[in-house]
Order: sequence, then C-alpha cells, then structure tokens
Amino acid sequence: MNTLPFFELMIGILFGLVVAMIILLLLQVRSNRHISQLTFPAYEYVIKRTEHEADEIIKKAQAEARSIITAAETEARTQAARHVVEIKEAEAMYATELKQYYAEAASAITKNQTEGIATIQALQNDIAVAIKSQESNLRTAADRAKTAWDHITTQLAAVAQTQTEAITTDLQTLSKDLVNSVNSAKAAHAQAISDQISASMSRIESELVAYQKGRQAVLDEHIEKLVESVTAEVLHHSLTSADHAALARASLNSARAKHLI
Amino acid sequence: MSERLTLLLATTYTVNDLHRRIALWRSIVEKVIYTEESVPEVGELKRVIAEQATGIDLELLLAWPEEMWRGLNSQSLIAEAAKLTAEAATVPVTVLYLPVSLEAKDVSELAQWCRTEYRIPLLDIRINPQVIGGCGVVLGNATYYEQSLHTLLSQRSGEITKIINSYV
Repeated sequence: MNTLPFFELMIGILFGLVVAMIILLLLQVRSNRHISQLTFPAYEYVIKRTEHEADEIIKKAQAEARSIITAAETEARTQAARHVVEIKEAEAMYATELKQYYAEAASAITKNQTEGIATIQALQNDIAVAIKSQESNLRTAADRAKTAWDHITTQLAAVAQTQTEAITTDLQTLSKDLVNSVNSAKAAHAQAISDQISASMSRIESELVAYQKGRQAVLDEHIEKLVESVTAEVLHHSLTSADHAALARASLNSARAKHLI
Repeated sequence: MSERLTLLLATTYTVNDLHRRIALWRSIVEKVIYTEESVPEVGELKRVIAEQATGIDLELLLAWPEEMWRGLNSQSLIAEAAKLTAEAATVPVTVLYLPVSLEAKDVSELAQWCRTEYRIPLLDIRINPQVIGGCGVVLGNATYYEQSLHTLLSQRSGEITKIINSYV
C-alpha cells in the first residue's frame, strides 16, 4: 500500500530532471550561437566549460537519481517485507480467533444439544405420563362401554324374546286368518268356476243349436238351389211356348185368388 | 180414344207391337203420300205394306180396315201421327215377366186372355229366366207378384232336408 506513492514520486522526479536537461540544452545551443558570432574563441571556451559543467550536472543528477531509485527500491522492499509480516500476523490472529470461535460454537452446540436432549427427555416423560393417564381413562371408558354393552345385550335379548313371542303369536293368528281366507276364496272360486262352466255350457248349447239351425238353413238353401237349378234347366228344355203361357195364366189366376188383381 | 187407335188395339196386345206397328203405319203412309201425288189406292197400299212389313205384322196390316188409311195427306199426316202416338201413351200397360220369349201366337192368346179375364188392355212383356214355372206381374199399385218354381220351393223350404233326415 505504501509502495505505490513512492514509485510515482520517483517517476515524477526523473521526468522533472529530463525536462530540466532539455531546457539547458536549448539554452546552451542559443548561447553558443550568439557567442560564436561575437567571440568564437570565448565561445568555444564557454562551450567547453558549459559542456563540462553540464556533464557534471548530468552526472550529479544521474547519481542523485540512482541514489533515489536505490532508496526507493530499498523502501519498497522494506514496505513489502513489512506487509508480509503484517499479513502473517493477521493470518495468525484470524486463525486464533477462528479457533476460538469454533471452540465457542462447539461449546454452544454441545450445550444446546444437552439442553435439547434434556428437554426431549422431559417431554418424553410428560408424554409417557399423559399416555398412562389416557390409557387409564381409556381402560375406564372401555370398562364402562363393556358394562353398557352387556346391559344392552341383555336388554336386546329380552326384547328379542318378547318380540319373537309376539311375532309368533301374530303369525299363528295370521296363518289361521290366511287359511280361513284361502278356504273362503277357494270355495268362492269353485262356485264361480261352476257358475262360469254352467253359463258357458248353456251358451255353448245355445250356440250349438244356432249353429245347427244355420247349417240346416245353409243346407236347405243349397239343396233348394240345386233342385231349382236342375228343375229350371229341365223346364226350359221340356216346356213348349204354350206350356209357359199356360203356367203364366195359372200364376195370374193365383194372384186373382189372393185378390191381388 | 180415336177410331184409328181402337182399330189398332183390336189386334195389338203388347207395347212393343203397338209402337212398331204405329211406326210401320206412318212409314207406309209417308212413302205413299210423298211418292204419289194423289190419294193412294188400296192396291198401291198393299204393295207398299208388302215391302215394309213381315211376318205377323204383314198379315195384320193387310187385314186392317180401310179406315186406318183414310183421310191422310201430306198436311195432316204429321198431326195424325203425333195424335196417335200420344193416345197410345195413355193406354194402361201391365208389365208381365215371362221366363222365355213366347211365340207370337201364344203371346196373342195370352194377351187376349188377359184382356178378357182381367181387362188388361196392353201388356209390356219382359223376359226373366228366374220366373220359370210361372210368371211375374207388376200390379197397378206398383207391387210385384210372382208365382214360379222359385216361389213354390221357397214356400216349402226345409221340407227336402226333413225328408232326407228322416231317411238318415
């Protein structure tokens, strides 16, 4: 951190020396021109002297610059060595603090773990106590339920016995009623069937008589038509015109006998 | 009733004969009148009658007295014919159903008998084979009377089957 301003300072100094040397060179050139025009021997002497002085100045500046650079390098090394020492010290300090922090954290975790285990143990104890209490209550409730169930079972058995007896009595009464009803219905049906058969037989007999009469009429009509057709055929061929006229007269006479003419 | 119709009915007993003979009479008179300018003589009439009529009509028309043809000319013929047709339509007619068509002789005898016995002036004879063994007649009050084999059998319906059943 402290080496960076040092280097910048050194570079600034060198830059200033270079500028100063350039200015001196320019001044010397200008002076030499004027001196050579006026007094060349003096001028030459002055140039030699100035060059000598300039060389001295440059050597001095170079030596000073080298000394500055050397000092700067020395300072830089010193600073760097100091930074390394500081870093090592900081690392050692950090390592110590970290170990201490780890130790504290481990201690805290161990402490919390112990406390948690204790708390869990206490909770387990409480839960065990509560479970035992509930178990006791449940056992008490189960006992009560069993007692109630026994009571209900007894009551149901009694009710079932009573209902069974009542149903049996009702069924016996109902079966008697049913038997009586069935017997009555059977007798009524037998009578109805007998009446129906009698009515059917009577209707069948009347229909049979009507059928016989109808068939008799059809037979009569058929025979009469047969006889009539045969007789008519015979009469058409056997009777003469005079015979037909005579039959017509007989018919008209029958009409007069009935007072129709 | 005119003298001409009375003469016509004396030998005509059926409606068909009456109308046919009136038509013959008119036809004969028209032919004679419109072919001869003068009143026809009896000889000319007989010739035309022989041309127009046949059978029993020919015999009867030839036997008709002269009054049937007297007093006719082209002016009076149409009126006389119309008068005769109208009078013929007023003659009472009795419808008689016969099973067969009788001979002309038998028809005349039967009609004369009806005219004598029952005062039936004119017969309308129609044929119906169903009235075999007798006849049917439409009486004055529009009732039909029939006596035939069919009516006789109908009156004795069932007797045949009874006889048959008695033998079964």
